[in-house]
Amino acid sequence: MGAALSPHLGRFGVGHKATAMGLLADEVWALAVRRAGERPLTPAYYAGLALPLWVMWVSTTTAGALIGDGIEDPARFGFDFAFAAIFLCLLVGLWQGARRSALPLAVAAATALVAHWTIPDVWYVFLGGLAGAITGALQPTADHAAANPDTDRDDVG
Amino acid sequence: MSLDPTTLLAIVGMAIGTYLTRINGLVLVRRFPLRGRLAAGLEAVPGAILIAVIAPTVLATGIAETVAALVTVLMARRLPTLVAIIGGVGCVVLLRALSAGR
Repeated sequence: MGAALSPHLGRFGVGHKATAMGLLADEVWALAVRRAGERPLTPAYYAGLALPLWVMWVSTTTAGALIGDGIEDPARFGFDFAFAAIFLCLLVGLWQGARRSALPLAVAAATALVAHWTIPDVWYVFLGGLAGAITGALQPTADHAAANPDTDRDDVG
Repeated sequence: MSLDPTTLLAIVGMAIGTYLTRINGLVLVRRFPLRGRLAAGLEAVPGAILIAVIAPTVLATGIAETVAALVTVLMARRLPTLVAIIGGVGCVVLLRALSAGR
């Protein structure tokens, strides 16, 4: 996660970066990457994003641990699906068009599914992410990715 | 709720380990120039991780979860995120109730 966010941390000092990594939760990371796609990421935006989420996260987790025993089956209220729903919304925000996003996401999902069925524990997250990254690097559109400053310069020259 | 010292130690250990891997990501990337296919691959990481985390839930749990996921995505494209999340959760509860009633 840190590696993927790193190109967008140009406005962060060393102290900012160290703090930012400590507050980096999945959702914070996804929203920060989404923001960085629209405009440069600033320490102030990151703090406004990460601090309230961190406070909510720790306080509601504490509350959940204290009173959670009283809820017999979280699935009855669909709470278990809220997690997947949040990630799906984040994915919609990260979508960069079928040409760039479709193939890496499809490969990542398929790899994760196969790994989930064949390998114990949560290796499917790592393997799915890795397969998606490799697909993103190797697919034909990768050469013309917006993140490639060299080809942009060639076009101008 | 009781707190077992071994559990506490495991949580603290995981926290330190997680923090180190995150700092590591930043430090490692600084040593490589980021362009071309490396940049494109790195750009694909966020979406790939997100979809890998939820793939078993969405695709391999049951028809209710898969349909609710589709509904969530369609809603998220038009409506505010919070509405889409609540709609998706509502949809899964409804579909599970329907499939359990049969």
